[in-house]
Amino acid sequence: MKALDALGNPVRREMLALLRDRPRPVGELAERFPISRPAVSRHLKVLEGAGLVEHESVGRENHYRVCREGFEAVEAWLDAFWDEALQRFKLVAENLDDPESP
Amino acid sequence: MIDKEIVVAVAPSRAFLAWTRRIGMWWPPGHRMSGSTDGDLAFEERVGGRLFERTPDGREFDYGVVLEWDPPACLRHSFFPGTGRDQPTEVEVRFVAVEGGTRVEVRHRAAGSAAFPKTAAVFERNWEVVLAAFAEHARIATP
Repeated sequence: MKALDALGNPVRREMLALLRDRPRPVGELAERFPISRPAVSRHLKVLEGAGLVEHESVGRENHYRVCREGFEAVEAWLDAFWDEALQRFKLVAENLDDPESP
Repeated sequence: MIDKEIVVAVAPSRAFLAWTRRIGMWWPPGHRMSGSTDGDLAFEERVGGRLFERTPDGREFDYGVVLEWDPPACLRHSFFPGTGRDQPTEVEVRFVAVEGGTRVEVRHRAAGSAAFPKTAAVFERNWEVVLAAFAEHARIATP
């Protein structure tokens, strides 16, 4: 899942946290991180490629905002994890001979 | 935030034991912190005890710390995967007696304000990011 690959990086997660508050221009995001401007742009491209953010051009600068659909896909994935866990738990609980034994 | 429930055809005491002492049997094998499928998961059965995975070669991975241990009704623990020990999410499991068995209710949240007052606000704000990070971890562990 592309969105999950994109999230495997603390800088990108922090960028998303900032963008959750409100859309921001690239320059403002860049000020927040001790990395080069091109590096900031690369991170944003990865996020955009994963469907987690989108941008629009305002004057000479790109403004980024979070893309809700990308996050919904991730939450659905986590939801599926618990569905699988509970179905397996049910099987174990209902077929356990002696749960008291070690 | 995740809210799930399932009804199992055993009494709460048995459901609680299956949840805790047999967690290694039902925890999805593709979602282990070790990345392998042959480890076991276990609770240290007390408040402050760990939920952890141990691999056959002796490596241990902490999944969280028990915050509430009230058999057979309830257990609550912090949860490190994905977000890390310093920014845990929190899992609460309740076992409710119903006709013919037990309703098991699972809530997976950013964090409990009582246990993590300083960080709770941050988590609520960044909950989507936190969830995503957790899911990302679990995916890595998938074979």
